[in-house]
Amino acid sequence: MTRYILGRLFWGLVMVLGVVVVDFLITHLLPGDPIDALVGNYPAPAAYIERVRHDFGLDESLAAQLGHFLVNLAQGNLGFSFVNRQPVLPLILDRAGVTLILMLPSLILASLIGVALAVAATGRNGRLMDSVLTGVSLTGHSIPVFWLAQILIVVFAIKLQWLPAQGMRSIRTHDPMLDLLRHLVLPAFCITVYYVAVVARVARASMLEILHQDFVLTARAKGISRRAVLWRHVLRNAAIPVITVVGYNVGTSLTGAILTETVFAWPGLGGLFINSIANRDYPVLSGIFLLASIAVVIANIITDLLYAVADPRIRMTPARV
Amino acid sequence: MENNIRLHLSRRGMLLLALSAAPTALGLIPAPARAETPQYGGTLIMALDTDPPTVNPNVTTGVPDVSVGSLIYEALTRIDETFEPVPSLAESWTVSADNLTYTFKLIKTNWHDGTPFTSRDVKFTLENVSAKYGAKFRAAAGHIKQITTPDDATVVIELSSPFGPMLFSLSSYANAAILPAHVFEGTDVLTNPATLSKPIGTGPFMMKDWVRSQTITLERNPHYWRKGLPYLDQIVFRMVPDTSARVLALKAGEIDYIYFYYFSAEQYSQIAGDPKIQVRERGTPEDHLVIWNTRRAPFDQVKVRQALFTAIDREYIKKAVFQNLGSVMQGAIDSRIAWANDPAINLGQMYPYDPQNAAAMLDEAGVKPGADGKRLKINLVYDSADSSNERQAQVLHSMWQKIGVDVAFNGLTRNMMLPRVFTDWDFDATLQAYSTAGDPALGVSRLYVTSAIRKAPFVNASGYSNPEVDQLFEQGAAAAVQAERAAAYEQVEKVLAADLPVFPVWQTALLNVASTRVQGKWAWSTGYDYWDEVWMKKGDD
Repeated sequence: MTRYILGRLFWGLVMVLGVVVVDFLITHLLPGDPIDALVGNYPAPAAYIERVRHDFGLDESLAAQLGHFLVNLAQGNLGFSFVNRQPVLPLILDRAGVTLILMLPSLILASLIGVALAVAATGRNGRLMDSVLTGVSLTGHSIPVFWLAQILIVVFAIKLQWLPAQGMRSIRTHDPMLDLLRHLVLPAFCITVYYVAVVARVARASMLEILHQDFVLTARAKGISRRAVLWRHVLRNAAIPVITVVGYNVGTSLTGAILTETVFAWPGLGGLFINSIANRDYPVLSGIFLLASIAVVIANIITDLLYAVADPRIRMTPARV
Repeated sequence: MENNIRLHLSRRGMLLLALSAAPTALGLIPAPARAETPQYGGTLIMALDTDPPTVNPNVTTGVPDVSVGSLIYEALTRIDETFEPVPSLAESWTVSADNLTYTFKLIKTNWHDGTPFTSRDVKFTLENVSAKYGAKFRAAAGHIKQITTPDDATVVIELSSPFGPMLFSLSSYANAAILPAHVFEGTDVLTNPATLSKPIGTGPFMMKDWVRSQTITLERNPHYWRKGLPYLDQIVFRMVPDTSARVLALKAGEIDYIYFYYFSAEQYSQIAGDPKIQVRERGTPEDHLVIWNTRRAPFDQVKVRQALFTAIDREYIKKAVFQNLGSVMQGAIDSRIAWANDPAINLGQMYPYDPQNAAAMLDEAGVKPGADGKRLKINLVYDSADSSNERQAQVLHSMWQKIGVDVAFNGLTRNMMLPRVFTDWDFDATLQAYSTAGDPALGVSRLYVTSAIRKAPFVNASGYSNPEVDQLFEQGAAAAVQAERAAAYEQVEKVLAADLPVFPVWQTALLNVASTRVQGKWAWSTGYDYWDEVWMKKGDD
């Protein structure tokens, strides 16, 4: 088991490094110049522009820039953001934390609701309830999030004035915890709706497949109630694809809510990512790619470990890639 | 003491209300029914898109930086609502008869850290910061011979040759906010904490705290030298990256003010008629233009450009693309810089919309239709992030199609558009919006003069070069008397109206929007306003 995990970690590290180098090259090869974000659009003195280029190492060759980046990375230094004028590591960790405040509760809620919906729909397979639930989850999956977000804001923030329209905290009220929860409701709802649909569809499909296997019939024949069969036997056997989807969602959660974060001005990693692309803030982009790929690798390892918990037949053997 | 202040304020209050009623929104909002006495206190929340990289208004022309920085740092002059420089840190000045020597008398005040403000700060800033890092101060810096400080309260700026917009260039809008010498001397200006996040100014507001990516809070400077000001206790900048989210937040009462730069005219219909929102059209004039690459045939021919101009109906563009807001541009100089613009020059009258005539003019120029009826294809490059560009491109296409001219649409992200147009010069025509920077010498000449044909953003991208135009722009910049300057600019407008290297299309409607609780001198000048005479109406919080 330990060998397995170490093996996965090693190959994960190799993959992260590959992702970071490729992303570094892609972002640097994109047309565009970070200088515009630094000195503004108005034609600035040439000496000033040269100075800024030099300060940020932009006057070096791409290979030299990549070399510096990797040497710094090995020392745990992710560089300095051109635009935010801050070291990259605390900047992205701070924003990632804010993103997780939004994403984790939404994902947990979405996974629970999604599975419950799938069980309910499977239990009534072929009936009206199934069609309704399928319809609802399909709609949730296909509604453009920026549209849903704007509708929610218009209804709940502007018309009813129940909830704030954007941001993470209010300027004019002073109960920080309640204030945060109030700000969480609308963006978390948007994200939950989307992921409920994803989880419910996968869980339902997987459960339907299991439902037609012999052991389910046997269980029923032994007199176990339909409900108990669904929850104890079918769900557990259908868990692998569900775990895959939830694991994937968690892994990509850091960059999974860019649109929602933008519409609600949620100050997370998504907004930083968009802004960094627009301004060609290379160090921040590399930092975000690094963090996001690490998250995916770790989530994948945990997902694999959970497979074994869900299905004891799965054995952990050292990875061979 | 208390009484004195109140008396002083109520007089000032009346004066400011009278002033602020004057430019009221060009008819967009009704003037207030009755003058109200300014109230102290309150927090005003403004929208920004993102954190500013710096809070130093001298080292960048970035909007968030200057928005925040110019509330904290002040300059020798301010720009008033008629775009004239008026006293600020310089309480008065004299200009020598030859327009070469400017002598400024400074006010007495302290920096936010308690150190006295002196002439040394002025000399240090202009020489070591504005001249080196200030894109907008560059033109003025080129004219300065030396700066001397006979005493703590006097600064003498000697010029090598006269420069018309000198006083304008000494405002915080033009990268000339005065910085504390005792904080910056001997340090790296670009990385000094007072540049990055801990500004120490003389202004009406002081930095209180900065929650990255969320808010920047400024608080009232209790020792501000304009007695009894500012009215507001706090100004909070709130980061809202998305344009429509900003409007929704304003409607929900979560922000109080959106600067025109952050408000798109397309959203006007969303706020028009909302009784809790007011609109004021004001700011440094900006113009939407079609710039031609005059290095390329057949756009190097005046006749061809005139024909293409005759084939477009700019009134229709204003209606279809720009919600019928703002106004059609009738000369190379924006009509809102009234002193420099000659209303007798009217492109609409010189080239009335007439597709048939346009086709005939192209025939004359030798650009004849081929077998397929097409004469040529224009490679039109624009920033696709601005949705008005996309629509304008479509409208232009439909108009030019009538005379057999096709358009290749090249909507690119801003970061790709900039090098394509300004470094590679790889375009036939490009849709651009240029700020006038408030003065033709600062913002308009860069579009046309030969010396501005450089591989840099927002200079002379057309490659147009005309010695007469160069000379006239030079005259306009050098004369210190406004009438002389105006004469040169009127002449240059005439030449450019005939040559048309750039099509003036639309004078941007600069719509600042605010909650009706915001009162006083808000959005009254360049857009980077001073906010010390703004107050919040209490009650319906």
